[in-house]
Amino acid sequence: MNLDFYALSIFLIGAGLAGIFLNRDFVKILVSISVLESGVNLLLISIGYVQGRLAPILFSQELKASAVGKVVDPVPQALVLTAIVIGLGLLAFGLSLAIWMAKNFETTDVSELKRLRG
Amino acid sequence: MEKFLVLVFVLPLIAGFVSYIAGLKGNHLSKIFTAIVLLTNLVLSYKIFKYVMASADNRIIAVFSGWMPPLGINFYADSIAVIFLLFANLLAFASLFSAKLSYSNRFHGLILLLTAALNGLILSGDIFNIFVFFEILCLVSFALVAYYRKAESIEASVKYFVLGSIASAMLLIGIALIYAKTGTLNLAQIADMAPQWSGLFKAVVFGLLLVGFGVEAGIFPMNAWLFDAHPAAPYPVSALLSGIVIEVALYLFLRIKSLFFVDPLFSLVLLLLGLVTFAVSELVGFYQRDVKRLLAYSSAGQIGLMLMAFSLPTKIGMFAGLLLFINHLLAKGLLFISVGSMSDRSGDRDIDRFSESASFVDKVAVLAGGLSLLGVPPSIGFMGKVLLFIALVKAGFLAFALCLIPFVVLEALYVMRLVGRTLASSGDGRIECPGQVVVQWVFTFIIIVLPIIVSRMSIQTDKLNLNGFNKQDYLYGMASQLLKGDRL
Amino acid sequence: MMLLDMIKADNLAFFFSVLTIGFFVANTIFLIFSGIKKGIVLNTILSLFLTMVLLMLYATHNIVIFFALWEMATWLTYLLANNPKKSSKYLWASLLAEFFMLIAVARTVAYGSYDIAMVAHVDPLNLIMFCLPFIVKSGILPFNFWVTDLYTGSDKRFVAYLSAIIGKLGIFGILRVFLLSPGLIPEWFIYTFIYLAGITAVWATFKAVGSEDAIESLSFSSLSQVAFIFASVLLMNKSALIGGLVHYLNHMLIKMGMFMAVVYIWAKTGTTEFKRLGDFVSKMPFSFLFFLMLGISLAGVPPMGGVISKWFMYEGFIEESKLLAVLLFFVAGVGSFLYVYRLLHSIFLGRKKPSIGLVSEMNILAILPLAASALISFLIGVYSRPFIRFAAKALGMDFSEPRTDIGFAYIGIVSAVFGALILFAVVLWLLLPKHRYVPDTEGYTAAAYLPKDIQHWDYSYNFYAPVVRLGDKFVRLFSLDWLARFWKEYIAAIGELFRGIYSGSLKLYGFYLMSVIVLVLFLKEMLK
Repeated sequence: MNLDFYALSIFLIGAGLAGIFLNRDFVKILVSISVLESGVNLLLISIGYVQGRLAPILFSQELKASAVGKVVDPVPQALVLTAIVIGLGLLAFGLSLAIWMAKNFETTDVSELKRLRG
Repeated sequence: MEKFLVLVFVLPLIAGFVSYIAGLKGNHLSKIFTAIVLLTNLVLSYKIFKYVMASADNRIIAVFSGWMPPLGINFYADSIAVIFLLFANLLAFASLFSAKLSYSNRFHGLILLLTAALNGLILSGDIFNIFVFFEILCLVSFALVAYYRKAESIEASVKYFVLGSIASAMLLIGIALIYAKTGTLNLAQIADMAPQWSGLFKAVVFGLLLVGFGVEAGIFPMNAWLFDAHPAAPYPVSALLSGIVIEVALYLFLRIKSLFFVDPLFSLVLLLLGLVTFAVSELVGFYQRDVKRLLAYSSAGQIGLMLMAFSLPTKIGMFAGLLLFINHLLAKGLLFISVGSMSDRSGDRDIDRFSESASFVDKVAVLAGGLSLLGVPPSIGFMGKVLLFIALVKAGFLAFALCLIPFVVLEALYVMRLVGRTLASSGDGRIECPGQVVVQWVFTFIIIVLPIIVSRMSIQTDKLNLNGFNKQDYLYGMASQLLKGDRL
Repeated sequence: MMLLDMIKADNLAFFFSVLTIGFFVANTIFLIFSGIKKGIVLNTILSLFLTMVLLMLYATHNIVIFFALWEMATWLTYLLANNPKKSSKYLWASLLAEFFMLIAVARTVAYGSYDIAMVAHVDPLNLIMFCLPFIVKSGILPFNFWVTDLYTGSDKRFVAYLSAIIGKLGIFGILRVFLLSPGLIPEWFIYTFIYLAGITAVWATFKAVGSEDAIESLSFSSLSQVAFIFASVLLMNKSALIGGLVHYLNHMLIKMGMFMAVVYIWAKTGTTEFKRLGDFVSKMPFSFLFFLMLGISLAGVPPMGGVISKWFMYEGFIEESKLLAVLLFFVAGVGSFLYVYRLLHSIFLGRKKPSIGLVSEMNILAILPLAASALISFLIGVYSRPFIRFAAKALGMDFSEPRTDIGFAYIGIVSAVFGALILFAVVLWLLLPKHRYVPDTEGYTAAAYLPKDIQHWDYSYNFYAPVVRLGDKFVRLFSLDWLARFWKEYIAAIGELFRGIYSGSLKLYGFYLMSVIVLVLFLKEMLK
């Protein structure tokens, strides 16, 4: 049911947020960000899901003609594709940040970042 | 014309990667290439500007792949968007032109991508498209803040990154909810359906979008990253971030807010938020010793003022916000370029030592930028501030206007402290990059000349029609009116 | 010509414009020919710009333009003073007041009008908010703390302009607004500020008497006189208004001339401290003569012009039965004798100091404005009718013959008598030996304990110590330093509190973010 998916996505979002706030290690925060984004993507897809329908891939002529009532909403799927790629980009950048952080601070502990304040 | 609209986004996007690759052979190659592309962009955006402003009803709609809206994605340029477009490209080109030659190909590629993202954001008419470009913008800013790869830059970038990621996730949730409720992604269509939403839904989506855009825009209390990131970035990047990126984020949020969330309660919330942003930023900014951090606090303060101006549901408020926007872009861009390069030359960002190698043009630029930022007549900043006050009082928010006063005075004091230290220095420094000198003189000139131009302009937009604006609210026919002996 | 249209916009504008232009021309002539080379061009250009701004300010009736020009004048003054550290108090005090004026402007616009005459119609509080910058600019208590820093720190090329015109902008503002809003001014406002101005005048006089620097002394004297004019203008009584305007003219001439002499001395010797100056009359006799004439006018003694304006002002106060105010201003007036004499003696008379080697008489072109101001001031004293008519016309009043039948005739007689006495003094001066030098041990020590070092045994050092001691507690109370210190600590504490918001911890920043979402959820109640 859609409700299950929604519940799961909210759980994932919550877990991601909790992970970001409760973790001290930057790499773990990155993982939590990924979890958060997975949750959001799941939410997005579940919005478009209608039970019993097919995936929105028009692989035959007859499907092309009368697709409307038979496939799930394709728009969220396109959105999620984009969002996953964006998440990938962010993650890659985050990891490079983690490397530079280790080089400059000798640690990836976020609570060591206390030089800029006031 | 539609082609220009697309070109102004696509060109820097592709050029960003080309520039990076070209720069592997040598920095100057990528710099020249980037300069050419940004100049082209500037010319294109000027052409678009002229076309749209030529007549009150002009707007351009560019569709992609032949899919008409609301099914397809479109770019939409109305009169306010083209103003933003023109100034964004102007600042991007100016920042690049004033950058030292030693910046690597990484820098140039990223600047081009930043410009592409900005242009796309300003023009986009589809909410998910906004999200995608917003993500590009955020990612490129993270990378640019971390450019120097030193401890300070990494720290600033990490904080910015984490906050920005949470924000974009929230934003996406908000967009998901909107799609769930309306089934469309086109802004105009959503706006039609918005009145039917329930109160809870509106509150949730408003909160999510506020956080999503507010982090990037610099609204209190989500703007904490701003004060670490803007000083840590190289000075052309600081100029861009402070001058246009936060403003575009704010503009986007307000555009969406004015389309979907028209309840006066939201305006009140934003007004309060703007006031608090301004007050806290100016109060804390007063105590700063690092000059770039000082300017960053001033930026956040001005964003607070712009938020207040735009959230007033009147024409005067809108016009005040626009003037504040333009003023802040020019003045802050000029200030960051001058102050940033001065502190690079002297190696220290402390307010007592940064201006050791100031040159004459630096002094002129800082004076012009500082006075314009503070709203000293006859600059546009002054017009903006006066109109803001008039708009606040006319809308009945006298208490807000009174609360603004002590903080405006504080801002005047610390900005003049900065200007005073610059003017007091010996002035025998030399600027290595001639482009920077040109940019500083041009910006100073624009700051001086623009008030005269603005006083003759009349602006009309689609949803916010400013025609029929009371002529008296334009301050600057004043000399000619006075000299003609009219008792106004 | 467009300039002419602006000046003739209305009578009040005409009065102030003519005076401002006259001052600017005279001051520029002086500066160009005084031998000060550095920075004259920039100063002149900026002063010209400031003059144009002021001319427009005098002419306009549109509140938004008035506000814009007023703020331009404030900023230009700040820039021309060229001393950010010392001018900062002036800047924030002026800006604070100006934003209240902006609110008054906004409220008037919301009320529906752009005309100055309508400001008072919105409500009386609006009028007070609009007039706040005028009070601050005039340096009336409690806004007197910035005056001394600005004047003493200011660029010496600008200080004459500051004293003669800028210090009195507030007077113009009050006149402009009050003349257009008869009957709408709250009584308590007038009473309060008349007495505050009185206390300011006495305070400033004490400070001037105790001052050891010529420019500081002149600046406090300006403040004292401006407070007097301010109070008489506030009174809105016919005699007081006319007296106030004539005193505006007089004071402008006096301060212009006196500052010219002092600035010239500064340019030549590099100092304006009393203890380093002395016996300049032997090198600059003509400057001394004109300075003396102006000093007499400042003290309000016939036959110079000061007496005419002060007479009318006192008469105005007496007519309104404000006798306490008369007493306060009279005390201030008596004090002015003290500091005028000190100025005269310490600079031109008294003991020779090393600095005398550096001065010589002013160039004839440089001394011309000084002479002109002294002579015009004299003219006001002996033939005052045209000046009084000029002032009355500016106010839109019809000034026929004086109401008291001994008025003019009495002044004429007194002037004639003094004229005769001065003539006698001149004759004596011509006939008798000019001056003689006396040894140090014949100096007067001003009732202080004899200092051990003999060079302090003269007028130029701590001359008025008893008077200063007399007024010390009073002066300290009204200098408001105690208030400023308290305020500074308070703001610093609040600042530290708010700086803690941006503590640098990522978790805290994330918390801020989430709290916004949570708080917005509470809005749902109000949206149903």
